[in-house]
Amino acid sequence: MLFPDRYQRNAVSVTAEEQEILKNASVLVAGCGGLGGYVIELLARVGVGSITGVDGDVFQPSNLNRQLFSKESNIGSSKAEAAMIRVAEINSDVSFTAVCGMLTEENADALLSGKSVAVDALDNAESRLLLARAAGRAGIPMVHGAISGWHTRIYTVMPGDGLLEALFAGGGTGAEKILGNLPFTAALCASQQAAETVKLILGKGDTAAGRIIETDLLDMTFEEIKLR
Amino acid sequence: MKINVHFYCSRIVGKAREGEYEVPEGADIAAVMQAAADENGTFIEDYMKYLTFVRNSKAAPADTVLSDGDRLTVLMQAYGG
Repeated sequence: MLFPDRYQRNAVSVTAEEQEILKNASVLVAGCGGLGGYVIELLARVGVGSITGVDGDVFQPSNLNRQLFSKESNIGSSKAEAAMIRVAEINSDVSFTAVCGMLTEENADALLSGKSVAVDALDNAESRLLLARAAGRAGIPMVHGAISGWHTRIYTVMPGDGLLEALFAGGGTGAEKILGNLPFTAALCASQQAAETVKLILGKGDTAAGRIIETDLLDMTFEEIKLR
Repeated sequence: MKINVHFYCSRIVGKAREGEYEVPEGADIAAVMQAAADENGTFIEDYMKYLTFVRNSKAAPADTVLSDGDRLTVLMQAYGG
């Protein structure tokens, strides 16, 4: 390890034994944009040893307001490759695999093989449901996060619980189409997702399984909605 | 019958946080939302497609028929990332 004190300030909230568990963990982050960029940054900094970032998109100017790895100089570049470059800069002990393509029914099972947790940092219902089904087949939890305007939502989908399918069953249009996606909303939601991922890997704390956690940053309110 | 409604969607529906609405027997979620829209002076056509619903802790589509005393939670549909 290049910097032995790297994780000094993780302690004692993360113990030395837990740090070793994180080092041996492998997480798939689907989407390397608004949510995924921050999630990848935080997981790399906390010491998750292996991260796979999946994104077939390239950066556009409209991403600059919130997507951590976007820069004026990398517009048109791959989001997954930008994530790989960033992770190499901040923690060379992390093994990062960039998948510069979309998550599909054909590649999802292979991408989730051997993973501890899947993080849903996608931006549409179809891909989110695809990931939930694949995570269910893999027998691992999926940490769902979504934003619209000043508002964040996370919850953890456990294998076979069907909650995401039920919530999306009515179809409809994401409110972000009219409310936009703000930078601090993306950062907060991603922080919640990263913390949830670490808790799931370590088996500690109360997770967001079976409950939606809603935050409204304009009202500064934090709500819990239980689901079954 | 009376339906308890909790709104977590103030950005598009209005500032209402919760309310109790009197609707006829056999009314569905959409009917309750119409009653809420009437009270708030908003137009249901403007925002219904951006909402999703939880009835007594179970996700439910807008055409779900409700029962007296049900607790309805109204959320914004969100897919953004």
